[in-house]
Amino acid sequence: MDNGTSNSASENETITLKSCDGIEFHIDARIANRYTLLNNWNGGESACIPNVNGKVLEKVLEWCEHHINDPQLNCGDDDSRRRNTIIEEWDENFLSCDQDMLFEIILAANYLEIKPLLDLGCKTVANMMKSKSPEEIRSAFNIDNDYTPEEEEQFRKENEWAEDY
Amino acid sequence: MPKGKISLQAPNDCQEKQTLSITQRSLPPEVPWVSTTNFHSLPTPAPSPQLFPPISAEGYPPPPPDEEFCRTVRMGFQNMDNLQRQKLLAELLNSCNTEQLVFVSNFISPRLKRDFLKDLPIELSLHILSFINDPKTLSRASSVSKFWRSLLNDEFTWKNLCVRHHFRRRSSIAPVLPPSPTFESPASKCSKFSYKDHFRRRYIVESNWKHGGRTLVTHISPDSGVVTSLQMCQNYIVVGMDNKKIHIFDVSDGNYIKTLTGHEGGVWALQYIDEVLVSGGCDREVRVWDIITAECKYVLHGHTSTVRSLKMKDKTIAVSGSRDATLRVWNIEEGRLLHLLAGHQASVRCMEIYGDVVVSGSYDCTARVWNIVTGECLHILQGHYSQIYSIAFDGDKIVTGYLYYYYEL
Repeated sequence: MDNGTSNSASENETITLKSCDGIEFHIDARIANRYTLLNNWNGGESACIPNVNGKVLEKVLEWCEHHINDPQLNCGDDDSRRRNTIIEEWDENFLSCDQDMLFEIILAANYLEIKPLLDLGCKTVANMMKSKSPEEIRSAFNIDNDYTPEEEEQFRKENEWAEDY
Repeated sequence: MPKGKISLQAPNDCQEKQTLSITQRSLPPEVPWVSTTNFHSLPTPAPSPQLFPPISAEGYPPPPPDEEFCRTVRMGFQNMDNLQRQKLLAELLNSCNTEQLVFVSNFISPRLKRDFLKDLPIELSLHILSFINDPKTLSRASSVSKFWRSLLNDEFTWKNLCVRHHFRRRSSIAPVLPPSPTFESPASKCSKFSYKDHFRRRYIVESNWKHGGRTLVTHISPDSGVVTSLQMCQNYIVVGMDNKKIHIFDVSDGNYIKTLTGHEGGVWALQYIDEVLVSGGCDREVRVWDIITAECKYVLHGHTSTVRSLKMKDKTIAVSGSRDATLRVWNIEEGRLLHLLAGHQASVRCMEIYGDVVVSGSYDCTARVWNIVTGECLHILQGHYSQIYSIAFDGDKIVTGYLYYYYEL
């Protein structure tokens, strides 16, 4: 993947990142500047990011590149971000990958401290639970039901207060 | 993070070539699983000199594959590298019909799913939950599995939800605790208070306000009538009807207790304190009742038209307002008139008592402030352009409500 020169190449240098399995990525230096941790690994030719493999890093960098011109997030509006569960179309398409990849993206975004991508991944998972019955949630995430029907019935009654409205 | 879960191996050229050459050589289109070199190099646990079913002259193995055959194929597959496996799988899938592909798809799709909340570090799982604003999803999620339940009992999630729904803790229900010197979880620090319970209580109350709540008990009186007035507190729900009756219900369970009969016209105003009930209506009478014995203690005459409003100062003094444009102050313990408050030019529609002061609102578009003890009119409040229908008074400010306009202070 060679993202580095795709936009405004003349004024921007590229840097090289290496995944834990040895795949090299040449990225726009602005991406690295934006996310401190990416920048930290730009330590010369042999710099590589531990814990993130090439396939996942490629996805993460693709996201970073698309959002390169986004306004920087203000740390103070944490809660307003949380209330907003709408996901932009591009991001939605981007994250409509298999669950394993989504899982890895969340871990990588957390590890690399790319907060907006972490939020986006978590939001996507949260949206997968919404308006689903417990059984539908189990099926969505392939979870074994370790409750007896009696226990389930009891929970259903306990949770009635939240169901009604 | 689990390493190499999805690993893109950089293929080196000669390996690729070798793989291709093997597969090309070893895979006749109809018998994709028949391979040469790889399979032969396998160490087999069971003595099985014949690794493959005999191939007929046309190159087809005889069906059906037995257990031995399956094991051989499986072990052969395990011995392949990633690219070889992909190649083999592609060949196999290419030779499947739709029915078989559906089988494969159903078989595979659950295996591609992840239990995010369980597999992610707990702080990320809680972060996911923090994006859910509706208690319905959260409470449903809590019955997904034992692990999810433990996660959803976490106070952090419910505290966030309380904050987002503006359900603040009040000191009366949440005792302020001294800071704990140890690092205990909030739940263990304060065994009595739970954000989840707090949220549940507040949410139910809010929902009831928004949606009208749930009907606990319904009573339909056998004789038709319109409910004109109602008071609920302490022990009773007292309902005044335009069919001359007053029904009394138990406040705790809503059950019907008794009916007070005596009024000769519809009941339009009532109030009770403890067991003392005062009512008034179309028969121009004010009646004083003992709720416990259902006895009518006094019938107070004086008003010349319907009693439309009525307030008790305490169990001794009550004030009634009437369409005859007057208010009357009564001693309801002794059953006698104390003062006649005259001045309004039209029906007295509403009133409020605070201390020794009563304010009355009238269809003459004014409100008047009276002293109950002396019976004098202290103020006449003008400025309304319409009849006053409701009034509130806290001893200092008066708020009135009337047709067409909201309120005036």
